[in-house]
Amino acid sequence: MFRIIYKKELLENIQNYRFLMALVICLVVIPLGFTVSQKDYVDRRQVYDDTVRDDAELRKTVQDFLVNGGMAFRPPAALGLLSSGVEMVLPNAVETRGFVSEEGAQVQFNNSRRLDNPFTSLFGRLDLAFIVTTVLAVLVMIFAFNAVVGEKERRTLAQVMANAVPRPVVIAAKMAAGGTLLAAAFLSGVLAGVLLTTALGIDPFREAGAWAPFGIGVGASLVFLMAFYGFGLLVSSLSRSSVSAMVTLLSCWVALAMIVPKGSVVVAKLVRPIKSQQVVELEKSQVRRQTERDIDASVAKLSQTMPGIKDMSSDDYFKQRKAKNPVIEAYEKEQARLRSEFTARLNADLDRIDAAFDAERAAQAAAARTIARLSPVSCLVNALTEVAGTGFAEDESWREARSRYKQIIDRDIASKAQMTQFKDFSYGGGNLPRKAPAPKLPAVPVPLEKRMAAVWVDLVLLAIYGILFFAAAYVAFLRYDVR
Amino acid sequence: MMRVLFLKEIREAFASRRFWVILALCLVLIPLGVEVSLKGYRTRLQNYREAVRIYQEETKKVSDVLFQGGAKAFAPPSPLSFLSFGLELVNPNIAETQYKYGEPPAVMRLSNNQGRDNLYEFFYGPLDLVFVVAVVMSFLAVILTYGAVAGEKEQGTLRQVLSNSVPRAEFLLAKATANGLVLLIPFLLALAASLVLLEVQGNPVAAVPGAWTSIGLAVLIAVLFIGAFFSLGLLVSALTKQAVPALVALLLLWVSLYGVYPRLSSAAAQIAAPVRSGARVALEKAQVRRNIEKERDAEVDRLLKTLPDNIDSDAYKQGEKTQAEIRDRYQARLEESWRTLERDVETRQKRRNALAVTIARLSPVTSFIRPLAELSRTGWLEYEQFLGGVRRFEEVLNRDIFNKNRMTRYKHGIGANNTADVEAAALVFTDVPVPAEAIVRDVLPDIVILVLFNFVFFAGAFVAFLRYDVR
Repeated sequence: MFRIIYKKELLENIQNYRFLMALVICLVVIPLGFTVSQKDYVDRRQVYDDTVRDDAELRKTVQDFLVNGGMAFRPPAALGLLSSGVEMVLPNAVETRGFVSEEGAQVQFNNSRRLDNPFTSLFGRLDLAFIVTTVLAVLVMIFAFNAVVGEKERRTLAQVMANAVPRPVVIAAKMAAGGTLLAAAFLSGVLAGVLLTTALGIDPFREAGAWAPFGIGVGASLVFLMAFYGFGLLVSSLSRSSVSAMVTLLSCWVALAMIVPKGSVVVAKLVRPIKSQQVVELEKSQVRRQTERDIDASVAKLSQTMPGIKDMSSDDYFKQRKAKNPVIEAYEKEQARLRSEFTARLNADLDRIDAAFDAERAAQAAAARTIARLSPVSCLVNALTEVAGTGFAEDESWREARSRYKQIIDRDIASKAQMTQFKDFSYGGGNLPRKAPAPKLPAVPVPLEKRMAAVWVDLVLLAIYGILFFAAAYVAFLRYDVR
Repeated sequence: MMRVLFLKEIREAFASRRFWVILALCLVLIPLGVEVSLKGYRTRLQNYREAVRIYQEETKKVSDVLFQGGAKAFAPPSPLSFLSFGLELVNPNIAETQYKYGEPPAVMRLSNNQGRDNLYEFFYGPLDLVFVVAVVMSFLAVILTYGAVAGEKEQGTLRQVLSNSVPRAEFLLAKATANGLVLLIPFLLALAASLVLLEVQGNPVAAVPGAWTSIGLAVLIAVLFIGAFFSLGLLVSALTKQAVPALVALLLLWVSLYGVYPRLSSAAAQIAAPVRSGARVALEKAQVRRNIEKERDAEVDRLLKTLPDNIDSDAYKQGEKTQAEIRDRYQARLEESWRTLERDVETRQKRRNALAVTIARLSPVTSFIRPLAELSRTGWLEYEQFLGGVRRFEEVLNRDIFNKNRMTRYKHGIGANNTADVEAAALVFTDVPVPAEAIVRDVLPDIVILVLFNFVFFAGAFVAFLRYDVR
């Protein structure tokens, strides 16, 4: 019985051109979206590779690093075609600010950008997340809105039910047939997109390990389409006319795809307000300056109070230093101790500011994400974004990269620098390995497991939404008045 | 007859649940969007003021610019961003000097550091007026019109009405006017409520020159946009025989016009008139600089080899002068190369943008979104204005400070010669807003195009209805 109704549903959707329409739209929009996204990626990747090559030329040794400052660049995400996410507003690089002294390096995000294509930023990108949650979601609504109520209007449902056809079989067959056709259209579009980008030589699979996240992204999209189709069946089973079913579905879609996600940000900002990164950076700069003033004051006090030093003229000081006077050595040692004490305090203060800000940001982000998860649309967009490497895990990874870069520079350069001050004179000591290779930040891509850890909740929720919507449609159909 | 029909339609429209649902939706969404956007604006404004305050505290004298953190220019956030958030998170809001000590010219690097603070806002998009109109109001226009003709035919009422001596033209006009008012009255009421909200909160837009003109034009564009979708709905309804196919066709049109077309239009312009990315241009400029400096250093090396060891000799002093001339010559060459590069990029950019705007204007959605961003001071004009201001600031900084800080190489070392008055007050960047007239000039074609869309769609609906088979 299931087979017969399943076949009937398939044929009906094929004959009334819905499947054909979905297939054509998928075969046009998905390959176009893939091609545009990949072309953009290939261009950006080329610039990234050239920039990294140029940088390696510019900063070969520690000496070059000291002259030009340090910089490490964020590569573009190879799977931006799944979702462009927040890639556009993430820092492009991390860089040192000012001179690297014994106080440690100042490493900051580089957000430098010139608007490459303002219209892309204004109108958005045609990535898979948008195609699935908007274009295909509308197609799903067109498939589902009159699946039940339409049959009632045409009176075919009453005729079918007049025979010994179990209702569960009817709704299950409708779900299976609609799902099969939607999946066929979607997967055809994806396949066409992959083939087209491969033919143009810009496919994303030239990057190692791209297949798995791509597969997960496509799988998650399929689950979303099924869940949304289930939702469509539910609305159709609860409505009295096709038109009201469509209007309800449309309103629900606007709420789920737009109002809930946008509302989540509004609520998160209200309940968890935070400072801006800019203000935090300026606060850090103030702390640094204050510490520098404190160091200068302490060193001045030391030179004015230390026996044997306090009455020494600059000329005497440097003569005695050349003669390796133990008093000078003790003074240098004491000054180095004072400076390292202040450096430790400064680093602790800066870390505390960063940690407090990161904790505030994380709390706000968690609030926004939790509220947004009330909508399956946000679950899919979150999942695709993290899997594509254009989301919040990438932001977190760049925050870690910034700390790591500072640690590397401090280890390789700052810890080996030493500055001593006497009256108006400063002289550098230390043992800087100026000819050694410049410190480099090894590129550490966010592993798939870490990205999955950020999205498993979304994937599970998507599956739960799918089950819930179908179960509700099932119950609604069992109680449906077919007359 | 028209009056009778209009009164009947208007009574029906206002008595229906639809009107009250639309009114409630508008009265919730639009003032909420304005309130949320204003809150975001106030936060950004506070951050901007704090950043300027701290910078000014730390940068009082020229010496602070030269030896400490460099010079900075800040762009204030736009209080009109409640109309359209536009490129607020992408447009640069800060420019900082990048300067190698003793090696002018300094360049100002543009950044936007608000992105990390607003990742989710960027991710899910803002709740501005553009969103409410482009998505919610256009949907409502579709829902109000899909059954205007096809629905009446299905129910058999159209045949009954037209069997009397009712002119078709008057019937359609009465229907369109009444349903149009159902859509427009709640929208305008909600806007009025939002403006009251704005006034109650101290009216932050008052400081923007021509703000009320911008708001007025934005409302006009929004009304024209809603009108275009409304007329499109009537047209599709008059071209179909049943309400459901009309709704499906409108839905597909909506997805194409809102979702697919704008996204492809920007990509198409980039493909047809490619422009090198900002990162590529920055890389090219850095490479040009390095090559020129390499040549300059080689020439200075050759010069130094010819000089005597006695630093007090006239020949040595003449050598210093010659070196300064060499440096000036190479700096002029560098600046010229950069200008040529920038000019080339700007020409291409202008061509690409003009093409993108032309393509975009073929859809009512894009002819609505783009001008609203410009009117809200969150669009491309704002970027160009800030960029122009920063370039002028950069010129003055180089002229008064960085060009006066010159390096000289000697046989056994280097020395920096500074003739800038380090005790003078640091230069302050003043942001000059885009003149209101420039914005009006920019958006006028979009207004005309939206009027045309209204006319074409409505005329199409009118003709289709005159020929409509009501049986």
